[in-house]
Amino acid sequence: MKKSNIRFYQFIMLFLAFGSGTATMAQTADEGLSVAGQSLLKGQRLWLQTGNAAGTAHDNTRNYSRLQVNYDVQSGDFHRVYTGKTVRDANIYTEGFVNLGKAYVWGEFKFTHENVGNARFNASINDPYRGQPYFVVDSGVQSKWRNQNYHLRFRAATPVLFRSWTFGLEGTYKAQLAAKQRDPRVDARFFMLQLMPGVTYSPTYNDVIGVNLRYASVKEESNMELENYQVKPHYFELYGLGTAHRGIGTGRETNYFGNRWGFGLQYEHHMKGWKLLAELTADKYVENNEISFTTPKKDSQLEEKNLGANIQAMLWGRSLTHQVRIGFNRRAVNGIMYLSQNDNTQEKAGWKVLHQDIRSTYKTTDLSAAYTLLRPRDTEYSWRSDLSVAYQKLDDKYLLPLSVKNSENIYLRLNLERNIIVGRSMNRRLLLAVGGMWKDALRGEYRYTGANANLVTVREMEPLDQAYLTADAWGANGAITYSQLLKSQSKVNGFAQLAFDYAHTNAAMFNHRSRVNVTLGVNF
Amino acid sequence: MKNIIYGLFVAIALGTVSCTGFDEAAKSEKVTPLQVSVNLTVSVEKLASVKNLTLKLDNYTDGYHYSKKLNDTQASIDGVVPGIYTVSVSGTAYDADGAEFYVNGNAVNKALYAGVASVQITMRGLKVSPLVFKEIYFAGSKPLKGTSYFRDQFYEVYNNSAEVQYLDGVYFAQLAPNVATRKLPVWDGGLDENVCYGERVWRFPGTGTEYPLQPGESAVIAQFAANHKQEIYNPNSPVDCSHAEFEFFPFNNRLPDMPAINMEHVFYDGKSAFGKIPQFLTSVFGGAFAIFKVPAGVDWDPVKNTAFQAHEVNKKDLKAKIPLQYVLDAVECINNETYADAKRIPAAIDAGMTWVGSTYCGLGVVRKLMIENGDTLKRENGALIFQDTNNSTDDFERGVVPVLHRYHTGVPSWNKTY
Repeated sequence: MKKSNIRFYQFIMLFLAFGSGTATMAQTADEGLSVAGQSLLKGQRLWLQTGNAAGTAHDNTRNYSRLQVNYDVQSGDFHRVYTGKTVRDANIYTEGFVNLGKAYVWGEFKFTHENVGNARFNASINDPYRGQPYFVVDSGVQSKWRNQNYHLRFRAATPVLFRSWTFGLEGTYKAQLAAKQRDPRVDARFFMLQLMPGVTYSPTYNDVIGVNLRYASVKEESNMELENYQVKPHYFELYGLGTAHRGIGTGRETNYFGNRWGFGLQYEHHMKGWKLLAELTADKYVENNEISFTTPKKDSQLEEKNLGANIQAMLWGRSLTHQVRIGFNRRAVNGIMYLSQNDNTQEKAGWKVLHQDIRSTYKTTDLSAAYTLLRPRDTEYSWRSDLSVAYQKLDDKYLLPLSVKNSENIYLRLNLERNIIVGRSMNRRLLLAVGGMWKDALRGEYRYTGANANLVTVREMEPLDQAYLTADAWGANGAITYSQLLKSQSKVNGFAQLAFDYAHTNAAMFNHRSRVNVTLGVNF
Repeated sequence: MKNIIYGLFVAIALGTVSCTGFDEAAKSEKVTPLQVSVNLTVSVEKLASVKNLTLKLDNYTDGYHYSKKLNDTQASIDGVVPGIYTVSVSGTAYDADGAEFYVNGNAVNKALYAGVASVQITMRGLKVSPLVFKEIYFAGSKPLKGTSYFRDQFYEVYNNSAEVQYLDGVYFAQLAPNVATRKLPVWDGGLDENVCYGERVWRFPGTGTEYPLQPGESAVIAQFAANHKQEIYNPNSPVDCSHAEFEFFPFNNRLPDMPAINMEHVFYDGKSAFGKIPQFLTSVFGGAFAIFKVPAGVDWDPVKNTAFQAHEVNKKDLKAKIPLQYVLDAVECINNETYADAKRIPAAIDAGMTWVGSTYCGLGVVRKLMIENGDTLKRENGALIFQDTNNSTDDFERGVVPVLHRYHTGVPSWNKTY
């Protein structure tokens, strides 16, 4: 191995291990970035919002770093059915970008420890909203969960090579551990590794074309168990829209494993004063679900197809900057069930798959548009306003007998921020943010016509989730952030942030959800 | 650059080796309802007629149930959701001599799906039995200290006919497998569909007329015929078995031999000896049990005659083959309702299964009384008539506190324990 290669690997390892600490070395002689400054820098890196790391060279390549600790508390009954009534979350996050000259490297790492209280139903997997419909729930008794999540993402990219080409790679690694604290309890471990190599080509000075591949490998292992074997609780293996197999006792051991293949196409056009970046993405994900490791039984499979289109545009005016984002995403999932039978012949002992067919479908359509108007001031902004509107349609079906669950919602959000210069020295800033949210549920229906309609999954669990999805709501949020240089003539801006979020509904089954979080961190 | 190419290569290699799920997903089509056709064969000697045939398709796991009355030995049911079904047919048959039989047949764990939607069922007859299991208590009870007490198990046999019946020489068998399982045994030489397999077999003593049961009388066979409510046993036990008519005495000195009459041990693992285990404990999750009578003149001896022995592939322990036509009554007990798809004995001797749902809960199962127009049916002598459709799912009440001689069924005059 060449010496230069060894140095490269050493650098990568150091970077991943210590987040962005090394970025300080390459910082220019300024006062660093305030919270608003870093937010502006990241928000205007349009290629960072795409799946193509190779586009890094076409963004602003200023170095930056952040290290923060955060404590977040959510409480209230206005939440989806599997979410805990209280969620206490302590996390540490670090992110950084460094321009090495011959390469650009960006990375982030987050560790979260989460204590969830009064969560109901989910009894088997880390994240019941990740799109996997086949998991196990209990009869709805409230339980605590102790979760730990590790998230690591990096990007490495070249500058422009051979006059027109750039190459890049993004990698993501996630590990999530979740433990339910009440029988039937579970130790669930989720892992995801994703690689996205990409390339861009600039046919003209004003145009960039990009393409990237996406591959992800997903695995989750769920081992249910009982602490008290004298009391055998009921559990329910979900098969979609409340359809369930009832069991009594320990539960099951489930092995989920899947692969995702996809690609993204990007096109950028820029002129003096404006820039437009469009992206088209498509991927297919197949996840298998097997029960037991020793005598595996193919139980179900999900086939997910995603199609997305996003356009981002920026216009830098004389005194104002405009930014527009329009997005479309469509997700279509086929829930496939296997007919497996135990083959007890001597030669082939084990489960034999006889047949599989699509028993349920899940479609999600998202449309969104966002407009940002801000007044830049040096490397930051003095104020900004963000207005966004989003439409979401969920259309889920269990095919035979036909059961449906659907909803349509419109979300409107407005946020205003004012970045006040508190003093001329030490880069002191007070960033004030206020916002509002309005959710209008246009329509929605849950209708179950399958067997065992008296199961708790049909009587209570799905109706409760549907009630949330079809609830009108409004909300308000605010944040106050103070930042300043920690030491004169340095570039290390320390900050403290207190933020709150409140959502209220008049729906009969819910009242509100509130969230408070405190963050301490440094930008450098 | 080299690193990027290497990374791409690794990604592609990873994906290539792990994409089999994509093929299966692409092959899957949307589910459609089935039309299931059933062809029946009735296997009763000198069959004269059949009546009241009912076809049932039960998918216990998914909860789909279909039922249809039949007048013919061919039938079909539309709109069936694909799945794993227990297909059963039951009814009544008469032979040329006018004898009445329950006829039952089933196909357990039959997968029905697009392209595989026909079922062939052979129905076998079981004579309407004068002797039936009236109550079974297998779950055990929870003691004051510790978690389990199982010596209070008992089985009660009732004369459900209008004539005196003799217990002498009637056999009692604990059937194999011991517990409900979806992994049925693989028998060496193949499954014999004309027999059930006995794990352990006992016999009522007597020379022929020593232990009569009058209509309406019952006899209790206790695992250990003691008053289990006593401090030395388990005050939490629901039963006092000290007046049980019979006892499964294990022929060792670990427990005292109680006044109840001892059952005769016939068979266990190819031998007539009881063996080394301390007591006749059947599964507290729910065993399967049969009482049967060997026809006069037939030498059914599973110890000496290896033709009546069987063992599983790669296992040495021997079971007794019990011809189905000998069986008077059989009851299959399972852990709980989620094991309804784990039927392990032939439908001809019990088309259903029963359960209490828990262990050491002090609960049992009891046969239902025949009730017509709100009145309990009785014979001329006042004897209660219990429901016997050869389907323990329908015939038994589940999860009841066990009582010996429930409903004050008669105690035989030869019971000297009172």
